[in-house]
Amino acid sequence: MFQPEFSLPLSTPLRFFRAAPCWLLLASLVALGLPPEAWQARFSPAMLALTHLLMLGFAGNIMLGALLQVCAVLTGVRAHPTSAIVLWLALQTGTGLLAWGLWHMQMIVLQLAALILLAALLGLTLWLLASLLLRSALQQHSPLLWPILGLLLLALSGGLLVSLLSTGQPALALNDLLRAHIVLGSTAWLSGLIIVVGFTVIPMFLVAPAWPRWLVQILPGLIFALAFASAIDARALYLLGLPVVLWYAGLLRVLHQSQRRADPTRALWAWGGINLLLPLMCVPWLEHGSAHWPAATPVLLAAYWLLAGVLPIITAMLAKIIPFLLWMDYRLEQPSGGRLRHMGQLFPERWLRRLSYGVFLMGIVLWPLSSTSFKAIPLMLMIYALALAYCLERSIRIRRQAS
Amino acid sequence: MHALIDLRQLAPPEPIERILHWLDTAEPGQIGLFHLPHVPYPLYEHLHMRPCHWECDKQADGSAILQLVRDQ
Repeated sequence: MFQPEFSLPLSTPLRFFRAAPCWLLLASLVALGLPPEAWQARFSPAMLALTHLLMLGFAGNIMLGALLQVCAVLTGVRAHPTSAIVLWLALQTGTGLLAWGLWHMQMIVLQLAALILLAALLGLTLWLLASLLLRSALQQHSPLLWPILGLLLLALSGGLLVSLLSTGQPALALNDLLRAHIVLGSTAWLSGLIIVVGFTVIPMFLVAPAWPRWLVQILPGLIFALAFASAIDARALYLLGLPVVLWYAGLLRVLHQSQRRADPTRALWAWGGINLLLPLMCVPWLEHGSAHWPAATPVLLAAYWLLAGVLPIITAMLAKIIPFLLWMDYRLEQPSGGRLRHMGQLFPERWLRRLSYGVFLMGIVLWPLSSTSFKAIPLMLMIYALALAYCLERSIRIRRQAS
Repeated sequence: MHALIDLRQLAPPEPIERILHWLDTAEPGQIGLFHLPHVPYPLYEHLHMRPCHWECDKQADGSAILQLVRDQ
């Protein structure tokens, strides 16, 4: 029987998870300092820097930590601890340099950032793809292949963008390359990984039946294919929402069948899922009719996708994965009994409820506040970042104190 | 024939806790059969630390049946 070692040292995913709220805090401080007119231009240097602080620094750290953990647990592909530290360092350095380079439009800094991030992400994705394909010969093909392929193309398109900005080469239309980079990052990589991780964590932690097998087998590939097609040709954006509609229908069904009716993560997944989908459905209309929309609409739509879509799901994932990893680590040290009897001691449900209220509030008030007091949004994001950091650090402390 | 203990309705880490408790209290040679919601990959490292061997069969619905034998 195929029985490799599936665990990963606890410090590997935790290092990424712990860095994420720091980047979110920095991003919200930056957002707080922006003048109101900055929100009108989505491709202004300040907005580009802010976007990368959020997507690479915050979401990137969490999703890479989750990816390494999920690859180890589900497929037995384990990152070497030293390589994981190098990846972590490269991600933090690359994100910092990229945000700085974009903010000041300093080409040498941008090139350095691109080199660091490209080397790290290409190394990671090529290694993961090779390892997963090798395992596929022994086991069934893993749906994780598709978001990893999305990450590979995202890194390459990012490298091309920096090259185009700094040297004028390759001779590609900047708008097309930007669209490719955005759609690969938001859909092929981030949404793709959220969907694949959800195939495991939702049935596992919410005690629900497995997702329909056909959905698990075709959906990740379909999302990748349509994201790739949209990167090549903007007309494919009209189709991009369709697989996400399928996913959301499946998500609602699985959540409905969950045995843990009172678990706050059910509502977070449902709320996050619909808000991953809705902005995606609006994008083609925005892309082809931009003259009819207010100038700030693209920025607001992206903010809504992140705050009301990605953030609730990330909160739901972390609130389960972190105490589970800490508990498993504790059980290795204390094979039976001991002071920790259940995961709720590590990450109490009341913490999750409070985080959830904050997340719901941010999504609900984003549009109304955008026209009246925009500064309130980064302020709320800052409070969320501090609360998330508190929950993470407190959980880790409780685990340490139990030794 | 050994009774199949259904742990599919329990949230993590309860199934793992129950299996480890069973293993820690079982007699050498005793066999336990457990129906789990998924293949319990995270459990394997804990099983490696104990005197036992096991087989796990993934079912068509994604659940898994774990046959666990307590060694000497």
